[in-house]
Amino acid sequence: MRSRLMLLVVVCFVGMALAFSSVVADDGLYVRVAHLSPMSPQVDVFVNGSKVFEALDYRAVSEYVSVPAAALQVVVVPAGGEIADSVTEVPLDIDLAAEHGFFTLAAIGILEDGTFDIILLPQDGAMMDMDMGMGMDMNAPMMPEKASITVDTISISGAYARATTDMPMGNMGGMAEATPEGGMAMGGMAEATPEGGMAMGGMSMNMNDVSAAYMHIENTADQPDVLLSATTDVSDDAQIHQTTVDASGVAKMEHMEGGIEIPAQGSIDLAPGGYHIMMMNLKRPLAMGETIHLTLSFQSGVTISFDVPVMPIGM
Amino acid sequence: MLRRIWLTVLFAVLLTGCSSTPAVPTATPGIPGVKPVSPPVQVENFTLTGMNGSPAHLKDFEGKSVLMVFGYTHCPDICPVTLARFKQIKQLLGADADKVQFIFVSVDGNRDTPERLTEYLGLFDKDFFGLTGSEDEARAVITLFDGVFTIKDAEGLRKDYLVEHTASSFLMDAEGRWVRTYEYNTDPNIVATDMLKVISSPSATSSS
Repeated sequence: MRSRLMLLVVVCFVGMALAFSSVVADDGLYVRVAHLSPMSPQVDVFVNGSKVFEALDYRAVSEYVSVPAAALQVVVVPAGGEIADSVTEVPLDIDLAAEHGFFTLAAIGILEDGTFDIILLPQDGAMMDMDMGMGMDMNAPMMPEKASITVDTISISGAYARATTDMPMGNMGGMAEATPEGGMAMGGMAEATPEGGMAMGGMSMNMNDVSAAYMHIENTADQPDVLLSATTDVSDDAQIHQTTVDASGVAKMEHMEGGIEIPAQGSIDLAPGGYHIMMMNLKRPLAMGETIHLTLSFQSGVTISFDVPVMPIGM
Repeated sequence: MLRRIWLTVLFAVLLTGCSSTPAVPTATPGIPGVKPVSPPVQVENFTLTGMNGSPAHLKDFEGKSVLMVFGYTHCPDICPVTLARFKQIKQLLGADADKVQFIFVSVDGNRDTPERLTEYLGLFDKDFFGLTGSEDEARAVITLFDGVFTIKDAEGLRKDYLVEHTASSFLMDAEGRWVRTYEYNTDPNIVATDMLKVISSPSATSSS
């Protein structure tokens, strides 16, 4: 899995059009490939013997494709090649170690100096680039891995924060740790893409410094409770807010200084266009696949500290 | 093409049918969240600053329909939702997406430089176009659509101020006539289906 020559990160898939001609099931296994190996050619990627991703260029990220099992044998070849043309000495075995979910394989490092590898990023929060043309509703709760936690009388479910960058940057940090050479590879990318807008770590990416966290909060106590405050490691400026859109279509935000009441044996939703935990002046970009740490304080004395996954900005 | 429309309509119907969203009471029969502008209003050719820092005029987009929304990049909740929906709408339009220019107009020219707009919109779709300008310029444009915005920074001291703003989206046809208002959070399937009507049959705009 860490074999030295993996090829670029590309994972594209094959037949994605086919795979997405039907409604995607929440419980399937999906994989995409990100080609983040500079100075590598356009590649095709075989998964378990079938060519799934074709003609992936450096910096391209494929669509998700459905895979039948968690155990993947990945072979990267120069575009147009056959399995025998593999850029690595042996096929790369990758175990998704999950029964369902969305995963990204990243081709990193550089072929020529032996640092090439394909790594499995932490499970993706969502389908980013899938063709949504078949009428899928992105609001549908498709990501079972949103955070849930129960402390005393408070149960939180479906918690997530919105990403502020379109690149898996936190994962890039992870890659650098996973393969010390990765750092060099990223430097190489910076050279390769001088036009990169926000040259964070040499990657071209787009980002923002405002985000929001959303969740469902249930109060199992026999008396009402109040979500009083929220703090997070990524912002010193987290506030409980409510968005309302009035009859004339004007969106307003209100800082809920007294908190939000949760009825006895009741629940509240923090959701886009309503209550949310607003996080401004972020200390770092939030990338899909990362988590942020959130601490919520309730009037009842319950305090909940937990990790909340970062979901794509596009959802 | 016809098949696409029918598919889209079918999905819209299916989605609407099983949507758990409470129906919005409407005074007039029609599609919830879709407000035809009748008769269509010829929008005057305004000028703002484009993402490359150069002046951009509404007329620059003539020949394409324009779906426009007002917002700001520091918007924590509403604007990302709307732009994500724009992205879905664009995908739902399929090949017809080429006939539409999606435009995000900043109501926060103080902070929303052309560069920042470029970065921000790039998070959603590289084809989305951003316009920015002074507070007065932005106000003149939003007023054309009966919209408003209020910068919540009375003392002018805060760096992280919020802006209240009209969150509806506005559709102009290829002749620059404002033909639809889509309320915030209208199902993208409904919007795309309705837009296809405008895009593919110009006469529908004047008869609506």
